[in-house]
Order: sequence, then C-alpha cells, then structure tokens
Amino acid sequence: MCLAFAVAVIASLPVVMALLPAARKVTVAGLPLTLVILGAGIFPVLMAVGWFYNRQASQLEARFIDLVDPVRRRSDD
Amino acid sequence: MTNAPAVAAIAAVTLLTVAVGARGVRIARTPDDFLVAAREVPPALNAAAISGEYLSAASFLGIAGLIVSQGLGALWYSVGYTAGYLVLLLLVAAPLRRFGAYTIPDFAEGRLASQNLRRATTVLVLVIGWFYLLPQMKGAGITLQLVLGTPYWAGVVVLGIVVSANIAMGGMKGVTFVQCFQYWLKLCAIGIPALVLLTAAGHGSTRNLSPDTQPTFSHSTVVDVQTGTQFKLTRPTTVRVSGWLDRTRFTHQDVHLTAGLHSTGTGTLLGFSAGAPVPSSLTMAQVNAATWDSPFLTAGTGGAHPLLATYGVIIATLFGAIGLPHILVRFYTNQDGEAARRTTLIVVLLLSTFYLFPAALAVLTRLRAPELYLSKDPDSVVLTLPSLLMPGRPGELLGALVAAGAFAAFLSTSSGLLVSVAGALSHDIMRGGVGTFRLCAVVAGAIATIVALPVNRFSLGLLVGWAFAIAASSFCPLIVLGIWWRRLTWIGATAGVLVGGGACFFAIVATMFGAATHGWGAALLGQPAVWTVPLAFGVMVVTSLLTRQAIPPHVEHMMLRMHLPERLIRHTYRTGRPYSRA
Repeated sequence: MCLAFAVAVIASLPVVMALLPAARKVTVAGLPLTLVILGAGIFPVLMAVGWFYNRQASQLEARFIDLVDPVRRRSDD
Repeated sequence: MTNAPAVAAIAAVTLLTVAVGARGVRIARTPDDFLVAAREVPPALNAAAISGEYLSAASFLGIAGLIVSQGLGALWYSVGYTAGYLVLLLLVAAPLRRFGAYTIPDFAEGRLASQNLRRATTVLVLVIGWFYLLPQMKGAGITLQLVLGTPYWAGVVVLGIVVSANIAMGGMKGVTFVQCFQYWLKLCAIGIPALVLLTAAGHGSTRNLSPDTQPTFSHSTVVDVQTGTQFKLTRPTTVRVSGWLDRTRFTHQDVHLTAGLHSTGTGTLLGFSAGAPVPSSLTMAQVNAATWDSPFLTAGTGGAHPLLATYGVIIATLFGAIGLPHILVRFYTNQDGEAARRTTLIVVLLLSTFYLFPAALAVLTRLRAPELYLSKDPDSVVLTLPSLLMPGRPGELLGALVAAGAFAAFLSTSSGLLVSVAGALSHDIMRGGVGTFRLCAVVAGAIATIVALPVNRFSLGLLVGWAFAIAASSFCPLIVLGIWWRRLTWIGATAGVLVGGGACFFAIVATMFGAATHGWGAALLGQPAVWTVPLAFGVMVVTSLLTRQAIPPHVEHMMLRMHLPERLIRHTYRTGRPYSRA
C-alpha cells in the first residue's frame, strides 16, 4: 500500500505537469513551482511514506510474534 | 587557473584515503571484514556509510550541471536517486538482510541454486560496475583540469592509479567509519559553499528564474568560449570581442551584434555588459527560457519526447538503486531486518538533505552566472561557481572545499565499485585468492581508465543514469522476484537478467555512438529503462512459468528465512527444532 502511494505520487507528477502547462508559470516567492516541488517539497513526502511503512512493518511483526508465542516475546530479547 | 588551497585539499583527501587503505592489508571482499568490524553497526552510522558510498560524481557535480544546461527537469535525477532508497526500503531491505548475501551473485546462487545464473549475474556486475566507474573517472578528469590546469586524461589516470593501488593494497571498502566520514565530508563540501554563496549572492532579483524571460547578465561579464560554438541572441547587443566571431578576427573591439545566430571560434573572449541578454548555445540542448523551466528531461534523447524520457529516468533511478552491485553488502552489516529498515529510512533522510544543495547551486548559477553553460563543460559548474561569485581568497577556499568533496565522491564510489568488479572477476571468473584479487583490481582499474578517456563529451548525470538503467533492467527484477515470488526459476532469472540487461546495454551503446538523434528512436534508445525494465520482468515471469520443474527444492525454507522476523528464526537455529510454545 505504501509502495502504491509512493509510486502513485511520483508517477503522476509528470502527467499532471504535462496536462497543466499553466502550473509551470506559478511561482512561490519568486521561485518556479517545479523547482519548489522537485527541489525540496517532494523529499518530506518520501520520508513520511518511509516512516509510516516502517511503523506498520514493525507493528505487524510484533503482532505476528505475539500470535505465534505470546510468552516468548516478553522474555526473549 | 591553479588554485593552491584546492590542490592541497585534494591531496589531503587522497592521502587520507590511501593511508586508511594501507592500514588494513586484508582482502576487503571477504565476509570476515564485515563481520569483525560491523556485524552490529548502529543504523545511523550504517546509513551514513551507505550514503557516503552512494553519492558519486553524478550527485556532486552532475545534477547541478544538468540543471544548468538542460533545465529544471534534471531535478528528476535527484528525486529518483533518493526515492530509489524508498523503493528499496519498501520492497527488499529487510528480506535482503535476512537472506544474508554479500553480493548479487551470492544472492542469485543462494536463492536459485544455479551456477549458470551466478555466471550471468557476474557478467552484469562487471558491465554495471564499469559503466558506473566511467563518470567517476570523468569527474576526476575535469576536476583536476580546472584546479591544476592539467589535460583531461591526467585526472582520469590519477584517479585510476590511486583507486586501483588502494584496493590492491587492501581496500577501504570494509571500513564503515571511513565511508560514514565520506558522507559528512561531501555534505559539508557542498552544503557550506551553497549556504555561503546563497547568503552572499542569493539576494536580489529572481528574474532569470521566471518563465518566458531570456536570462540577462547581472554584471558585466567576459565569457571565455573554450570550444567553437554557435549561439543565438534574442535582441541586438554590443559585445567586446577578442578572437574569431562570425568568421572575422577582432582584437578588443566593440561589435554590434544583431538578434539571431552567430558563431565563434575556439578561445574567443566575449565581453557582455550588465543587462545584456545571455546568448543561448546551440551546441547544447536549447537553453532558452521556454525549455529551462520545463519539468521534463531532454538529456540523452536530444529533446525528443520529453515526457517519455522523464519516465525513463524515473524508472531507471527508482529501481536501479536495488540493483547496484556495491551497495548490497552494506545491508548485511545491519543487526537484523528491522535495523535494515531503519537504516534505509535514514539513508532517505541523508540523501534528501544532500540533494537540496546541488539544486540550490544550480539555481544560483542561473541567477548570477548564467554564462557558465556557454563557456565550460556544465559538469564543472559547481567547481567554478565559488570563485566567480566571490573573488579573492574566500572564493578560493570555498572552491577548494568543493574540489575536495568532489574528489572524495570519486574516490569512495569508485573504490566501492572497483571492489565489486575485482571481486566478481577474481572470485567468479578466475577462481583465485588474494593475489588474484589484487591483480584483478589493477586490471579492472586500468580498463575503466582507458574506457573513460573518450567519454568526456557525455554529461556525468547522463552516464550514471545509464548505469542505473542497466541495474534496473537486470538485477532489480532478479532481487524483487527472488524475494517475493516463489515460482521464480534459475532459467527464468537468467533469461530475464540477460535479455533485460543486454537490451538496455545495447540501447545505451547505440546512443553513445549516435545511432538515433531524433524522434522515437532517440527517446527509446537514449532512456531505455522505460521499456527494458518491463521487458526484464516479463521475460523472467514467463520463462519461470514455462520451466516449473526448475523451482529450487528448498524454496519454502528460503522464503521463511527472508520474511520471518529474526526473533523467531534465531530460536530455530539455536535449538535446531522449529519454533514452538514449549
């Protein structure tokens, strides 16, 4: 699901930019929108997706270990 | 231009690297190196080491150069190089650590139990490794050219000798701490100059960035045309010329130029006054306002089908990181799968931070020194910008810092690559020991040096992007399907690796020799990942389905080992019996 979201965000950007040529003329504080998104704005999104995935994966594994052996999980490690 | 502080800084970085390499006279590829030093490297340290090995000439010089010469679309490279680690995190980080392979041929043989597949992957390691070495060599060539004034080949040869000798003596590869240091050195070497220059020269008009404006010179500027070129002016202007212009020789004369096309000879000096339009060079991609702000790429395809080329770069960089031969081994130094995930996430953070600065420097170039793309190899923009914007000692020192960081980038990446290439050569092809490894390191380094001599007309960003495209079309499907699909067979994997990697390789070589320069051919050959990656996945899946009898016998066991959390597995290995509640 995280993969789908990340790929969707990245893969859709060029199409959106192609369909909305007007977006190229938008500037944020004098800088072109393209620069703002690709130069900085997209990186926090990538981080957030990765962080969310890591949390999900760790929780899933903890739950799985719980399921297999609830006692061992507390005593081991 | 000889910059004494830069020479000293480059020498210091090189000596430091060689000194560390000479300390450990061990063969760096052997697992023990990593086991002794690094079995439980904390994620933050390991992430910096991965980033240090990953950030190469393309990241340090190439991206800024591409943005200056081709426009904002080149930002896709930095986005892709970073997002590649997100894809790696989501698809393979933890299972790959749990499988415990040191190299891609190890993974291929361990997962699919085939010597044939191992040989095929070894060949691809060599192809990708050499391809990736070329831009590092080119970077060294142009850096020394600028700093010392030596010819291009001298820098290439120097890097080739230093790296080969270093690896042959024992290599720096196993030393996690050095690679970690390399990351912070590179970040400082590009971050500090970027911040200082932004503070010093970043204020004022952002007019040159806005769409639909022809950039103008912010101060009177002398452009040194190093190779004969044609350029175009949007409005008439008066230029002080020394040298050949429009087939006439001038000596310090003011010449009124009409709007339109003009040609210059090699070594011509053109003096523009403040406010004059910056001419656009026709020998490079059209750098006028209309294309510079385009979010699409024109690199490698001659401007044909920019949307398709953009997707080609996105696919290559997103999936290429998984298949890089010199990065995989670093995942084994994580404590467990969960630590591998944390490490990868920190890598994304570190790369995101780094990639802010090449873009900032490129934008600054566009604003304050837009003539750079006309006069020099755009790949050297990052190196020349400090002394242009800050004349005198401060600019010289910043320039020295950048040059040292750039050299650190060439050294660390090419060392990692050469270890992979020499390891594959000596272990899988020559079947030799330490002596063979040393010989192979020297031979592989020499081959890379010789091949790198004629590639300086290709931009760094483009060359590295191509190495990623080959990795994405061969090893990415192998690793992703190997981890997630139990019906993969060695026959399918071999077919996919050879067909995908081979198609991608030949498309790129065809482009390098100028097979197609416009239209669909240029787009599909110049950025081939858009079709070779799906091709590789398709061939692998279809062939595997046709050869079901070749599914390895212990596939269930291997799947469990890759996907179960270590806490369960460890118990099984300790007690020799399956995990139970008892």
